[in-house]
Amino acid sequence: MNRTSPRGSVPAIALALAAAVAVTVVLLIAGSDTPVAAIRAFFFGPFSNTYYFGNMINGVTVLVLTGLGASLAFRAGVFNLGGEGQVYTAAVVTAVAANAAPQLSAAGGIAFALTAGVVAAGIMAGLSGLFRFLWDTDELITSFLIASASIPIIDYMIVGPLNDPASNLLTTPRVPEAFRLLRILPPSRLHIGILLALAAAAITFFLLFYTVRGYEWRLTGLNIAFARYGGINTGMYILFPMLISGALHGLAGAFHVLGTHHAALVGFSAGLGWNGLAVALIGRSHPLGVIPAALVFSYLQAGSRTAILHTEFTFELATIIQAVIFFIITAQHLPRILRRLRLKRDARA
Amino acid sequence: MTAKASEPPIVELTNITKCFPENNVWANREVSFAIRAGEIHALVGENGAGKSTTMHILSGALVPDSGSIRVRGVNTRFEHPRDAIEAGIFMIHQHPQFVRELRVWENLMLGIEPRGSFGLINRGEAVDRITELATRYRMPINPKHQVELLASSQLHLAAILGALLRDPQVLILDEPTAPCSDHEVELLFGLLRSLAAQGRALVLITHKLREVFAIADRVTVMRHGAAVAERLIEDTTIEDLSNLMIGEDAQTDGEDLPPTAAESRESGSETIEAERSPLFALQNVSLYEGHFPLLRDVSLTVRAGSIVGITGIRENGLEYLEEVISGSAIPDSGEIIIGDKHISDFSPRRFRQHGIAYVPTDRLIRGASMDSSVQDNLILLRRKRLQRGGVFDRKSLDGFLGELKHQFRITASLQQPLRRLSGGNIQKVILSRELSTGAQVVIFSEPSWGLDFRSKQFVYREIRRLREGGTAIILISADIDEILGLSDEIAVMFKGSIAAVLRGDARTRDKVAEYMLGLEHKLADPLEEAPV
Repeated sequence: MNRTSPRGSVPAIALALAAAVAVTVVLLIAGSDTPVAAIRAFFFGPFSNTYYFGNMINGVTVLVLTGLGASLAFRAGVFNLGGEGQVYTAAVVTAVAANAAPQLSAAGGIAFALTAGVVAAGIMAGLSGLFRFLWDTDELITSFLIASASIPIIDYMIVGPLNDPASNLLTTPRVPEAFRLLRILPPSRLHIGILLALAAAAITFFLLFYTVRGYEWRLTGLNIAFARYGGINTGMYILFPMLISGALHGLAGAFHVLGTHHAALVGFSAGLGWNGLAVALIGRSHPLGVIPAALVFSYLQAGSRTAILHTEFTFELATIIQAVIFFIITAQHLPRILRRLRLKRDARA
Repeated sequence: MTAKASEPPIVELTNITKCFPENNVWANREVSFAIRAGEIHALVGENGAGKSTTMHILSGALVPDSGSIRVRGVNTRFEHPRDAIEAGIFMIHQHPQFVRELRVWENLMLGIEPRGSFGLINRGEAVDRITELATRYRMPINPKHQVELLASSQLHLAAILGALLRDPQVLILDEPTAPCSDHEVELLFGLLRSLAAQGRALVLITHKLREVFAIADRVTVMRHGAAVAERLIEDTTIEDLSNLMIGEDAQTDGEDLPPTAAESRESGSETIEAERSPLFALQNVSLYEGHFPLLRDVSLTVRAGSIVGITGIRENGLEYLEEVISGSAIPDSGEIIIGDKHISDFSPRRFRQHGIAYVPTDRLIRGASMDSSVQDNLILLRRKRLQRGGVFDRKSLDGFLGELKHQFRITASLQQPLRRLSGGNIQKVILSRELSTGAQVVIFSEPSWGLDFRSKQFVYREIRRLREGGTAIILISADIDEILGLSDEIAVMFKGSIAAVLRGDARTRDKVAEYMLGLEHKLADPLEEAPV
């Protein structure tokens, strides 16, 4: 009998990636006057020096965290589509918190600023979980709406009240130097956040597969009727996965401020939330699968960045390539996502 | 529709062999099998005996490794179900596949839609043709309904309608009666008889020997991939067939039934019954949907060491009673008492905490998580005891799983997903999990649905073992034989009420049937017949 696997199979994912690469090459050839240079820049650029390489690995940090956030929600059978706004909000909150308490020690300030960002994003996503719990509103819709509404507000804050008058960029003031995370591969922006992101993946893996709560979490995601029948408090596994998913997105935003840019720039988070979803899908919602998935994704992103810098390859083309990758990867999961939605609807009815 | 052995068969399978190397299983070994016009041919055997494989080969879904298929004397090769359908052979699967969102007619006409002008589908004609067929065969199917709205027993009827639209000469039915109540089985059998009378050949795959004698003209028994015997129905007996099926003379009482209620009658349970402590009780429980009563004033008492069987024809409230006694539905009025506690907080979680175990009708969604591993399914109820500081403790986990595997003879690997297991083994997993809690009250709902002989025996043995151990048991089942065979008391439901509770010598098939059909039901005062 032919059954849809609950998570995409490895060959299917490999095929999707291969298709994405093929489309990329076609776009590079069609969209560039110097296709050979563009292809070389795209595929080998990220390895050509420490700066590009470090930045590529630094991209992994954010993708692992947002990928984990999306995966954990998937695993519980809930959807967090608000990652984009959660990353952005967390970044601004982190920047504000860091600048509000310059007198703190380095460790204290980092902890304070990180916590502020994580809590802000956690609450933001957690609200959707709470609404679902209280009123059975669809968390998929509410998380998306809340996050979408937050983006222009944050834009306004950065451009307006929080703007750094000293900078000619649309950005918040830079965070105090003491609070900036240690860089490990100068001159690139790679910072120690990567270690924390990898640790987060390992911890998530352990919690999900070796603890009772993790067991209940996964069971609720796979079959909520069964979980309820087994006496599992399923309401909790609607609320907490959203909260924690948001918190992980928040950590990504906070790292971005404390480690990568040292400030929150307008629109920096564009695509980060969606990329997290794509990474979760490539990584089959597995905490350890998210790591290679983030690497592949970051490599493709870094490739388009070097291609832009070294050839007349345009920013729009890079965006199209990313969209194509996202599209191809999610398309194969669409039936499954729809099925999940159906199951969820049936379970509620 | 008496069959003459001299008539040449429509279809003849000769020495069919099929091996599944990936499982290292000979699914069919030199199976020969002939199907004659106007005959209802039953194919019986345990799960895994090779019945479905043979029929899949016959219907073109599988290609045999060797052997021949002759249709009306001509050697044929089926590469695809299409080929079989063209030859007039049509199979209706155990779980008919439909597009749930589409209407009945759209599903049934798929691929054979009548065309109107411009090649568009002629809806009117499609609906008319189906309506006409449904009326002719008295099938309660409306072609304009969405498939989603059909009950599972109706799905089979719809599938048969779909087959008839293609006018098959050979119709294969795989366990068509599994989701049917006794009444629906009668309807279905009437239909099958009239189809056979038209000269069609029918093949009926079944576990239920009683059905074989009720309808078949001829029966073939399969065991371990081989067709071990073929008999005309008048030349065989239930004992004969069951011996052939299991290949041993262990079974003396024939049918796939639990040993009779006589056993429990003799045990003198009646005399002690009143002294045994009640562990579970419903008092005047009602459940409404709007103003429509789903359950009316249902009262029941279940005592330690006894089995209360609840039966009735489908749509008479069995399913709502299951919801209420498992904590899944909140009654609108009445009391539920577990042990000596009046329950005010209704949820499966609370009921479990009060010591209730529950084997649900809906095994594939509620009773098990098909995408989870066997292990994850087994530990559900003991998860809190197999941990230290929130982390699963390898040692107690292995100990617990080893014990269950041994006690319930679960042979499946613990890490594989549950959906890879057969129906019997899935039910074993569910049963062993529920019984692992040592609950004082156990609810079984349709515990033997779709199980083969051995698995059924296993389930019945476990239920009886529990009763001996002093557990209070509620058995919900639409299968009268099962109810008669196991229950100390039988509550019969009719239109949402308990029409009667039968004890002692009143527990007869006739009495149960009368109350089921409402023949004895006193509409003026339903309470009179419902002793507490």
